[in-house]
Amino acid sequence: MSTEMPQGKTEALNALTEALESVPIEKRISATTTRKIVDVAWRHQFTRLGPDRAAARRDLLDDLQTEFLRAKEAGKE
Amino acid sequence: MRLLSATFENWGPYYGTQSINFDCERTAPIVLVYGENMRGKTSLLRGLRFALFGSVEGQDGKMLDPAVMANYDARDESDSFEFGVTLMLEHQSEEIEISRRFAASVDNGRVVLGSIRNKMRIVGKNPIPEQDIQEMVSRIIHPDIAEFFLFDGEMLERFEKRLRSDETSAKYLRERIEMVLGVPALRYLKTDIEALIEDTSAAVRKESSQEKTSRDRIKSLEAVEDAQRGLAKDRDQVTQELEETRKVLKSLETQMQEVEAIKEIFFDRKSKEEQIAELDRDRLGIEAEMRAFLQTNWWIPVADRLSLEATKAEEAMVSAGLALDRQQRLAYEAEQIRDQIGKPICEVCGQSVPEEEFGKLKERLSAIEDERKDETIIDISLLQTRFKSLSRFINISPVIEQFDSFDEEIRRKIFRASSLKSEVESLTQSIEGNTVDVSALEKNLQNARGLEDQFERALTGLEEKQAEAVSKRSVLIRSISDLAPSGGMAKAKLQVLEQVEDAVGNAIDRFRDSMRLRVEDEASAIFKRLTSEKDYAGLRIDGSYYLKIYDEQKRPIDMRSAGADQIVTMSLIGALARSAVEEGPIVMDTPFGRLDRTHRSNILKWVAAMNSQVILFVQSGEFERERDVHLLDNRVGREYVLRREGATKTRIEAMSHD
Repeated sequence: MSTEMPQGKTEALNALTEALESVPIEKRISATTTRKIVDVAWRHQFTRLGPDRAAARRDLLDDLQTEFLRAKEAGKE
Repeated sequence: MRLLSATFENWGPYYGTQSINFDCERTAPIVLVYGENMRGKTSLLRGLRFALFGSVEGQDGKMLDPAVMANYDARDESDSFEFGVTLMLEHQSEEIEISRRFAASVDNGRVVLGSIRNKMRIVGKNPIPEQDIQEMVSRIIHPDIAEFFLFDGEMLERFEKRLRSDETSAKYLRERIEMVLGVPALRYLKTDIEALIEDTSAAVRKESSQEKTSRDRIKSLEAVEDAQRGLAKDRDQVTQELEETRKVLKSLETQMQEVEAIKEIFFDRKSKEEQIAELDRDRLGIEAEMRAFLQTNWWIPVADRLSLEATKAEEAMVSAGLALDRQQRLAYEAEQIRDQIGKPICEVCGQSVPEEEFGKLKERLSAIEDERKDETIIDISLLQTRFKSLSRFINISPVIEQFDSFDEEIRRKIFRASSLKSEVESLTQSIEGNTVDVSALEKNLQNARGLEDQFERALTGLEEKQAEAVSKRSVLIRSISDLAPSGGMAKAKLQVLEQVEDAVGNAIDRFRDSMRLRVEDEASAIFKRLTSEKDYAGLRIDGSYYLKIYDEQKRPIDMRSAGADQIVTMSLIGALARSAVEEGPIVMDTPFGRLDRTHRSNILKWVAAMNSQVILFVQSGEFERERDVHLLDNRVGREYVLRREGATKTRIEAMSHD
């Protein structure tokens, strides 16, 4: 089995990264978080909408935690 | 995912327990299974699908009663038996076993299915609970995208048609293609973030509820959210109804396709029946003509006899004429001799006639009288009358030829009509038992299409309203969030989530377009490799994933053969397999049906260059081992032959490599 990132996932990551370019760099989520978000999306892409998505949402919140804390700190300044 | 082995138990023509090992070296990942028609290649493909998804599909994509896969000999041997398939596969470095079996009983020769027993386990771990098996399998290979990995030659022929059509099945297929490419991943992500924003906005409200302005805005927000909930509920309902309608439509369209096939048979039969009727009419016309001809030529049945009699009468008349002539000549001569004997002096010279001369005359007279002694009276007029009445039968060939040509023409018409009748009979047999009410079906189809259209419009309307509400809500949340004290966690979360939501929303179309271009590039490269037409420059894809061939001058080629369609489809499937969210084995059943030798060898060379596991079920008409195996460039890891052991029994036999 190939250990490389699937082509589609790379494209999804590129699309999201490009879309984030319109956000000012100091407010923008990091490249690592972007990658994590795409990981979650990719992992749960066959889980249909509904209660089964709860796990995907939990994973998202976990992966965004660092960004939440950064934004909170920035808000205090 | 990679297939390791499959074990078939009393499955289709595979009596007892028989296995195929698919596990090969990475350098030789191709498995070839040779089998002539009716040996069970399609049963193998159905078996693989059954092990994965628990259902048996016909070649038209319709679900079949799994009982049809029970082996006849197992059924006839015992009142109860088991049948099913066990699959071993490798996924993310783990070995997984999936087994699906039916316990069956036999009632009056009919297979009665007991409940299905599904088992799944990761080797070295506990079995997976039965209720989770489907979900687990879907994560390995989703049933909706399986048709791009496990397919038969017929599907290649149908595929293009489905993509080009405006029917529901085309929409369904396009959705599946996007699923293969991973497009839903970002769509679902956006929905998840929207849900998280909703949760977070409640916390933001708490943080900012001290302010009066905030309280007013919160009230407005709650109203918007109420409306949103209502819209979401309506949308869920409409989506569900649309999905149900599409399912019904898909089934009706499949039925309609069958009806179309039946209709073609009906038309064919009708045209043949019309031809028979025309032949019968022509035959009756010729028979009437023949009757009139016979009235004039009533004698035709005894023509030979009459012709003979006429010839005889002619001969009799001629010979009587000759005889009469001789009688008259002899009588005259005798009279002359008698006259001479009575005159001893010659009247011309006046000299006396010598005695010797008299002797000769007397001798001649005696001979004549002897000859005339037996003379009969000849009545030539009687013979002439007879001949006259028969003379028309002397030369009857043109009349007989005309009669024979009528006869021949009638025979020809009867023969053609009879061969058409047997064709009609076999067409009738082929549609026997079909009691489809076409007009009811057409009406249902029309109704379902109307409903689909209605639901789609309703959905679009709801989506527009939802988008409006989302933007309204977003503005309100932002303004409430602005009023919330800085440094609060909820406010920070909301800011991040909104940023991600915007970005994901913008990324979806970007991602879809880039995947479509990727598929176009891949498909184009594969197509150029497969096609034997050097003027073709490549393929272009449209928003519906329909691929058009372009030539060197960038002109689209609109007219293309069924073979070219198959090459285009093969290119699309190859491109999808390369761009798919999950790597999977490609299993092809009789894939080279309409293709000529050059295209077949191009495909085989391409297959040899693929990195994926490829399993080919082939028959001798499309793949000859001695001639073609070298095209696979030593990449064949295993080979099997499906050997006939009887009309209902096939043995899977491993060839070399094992």
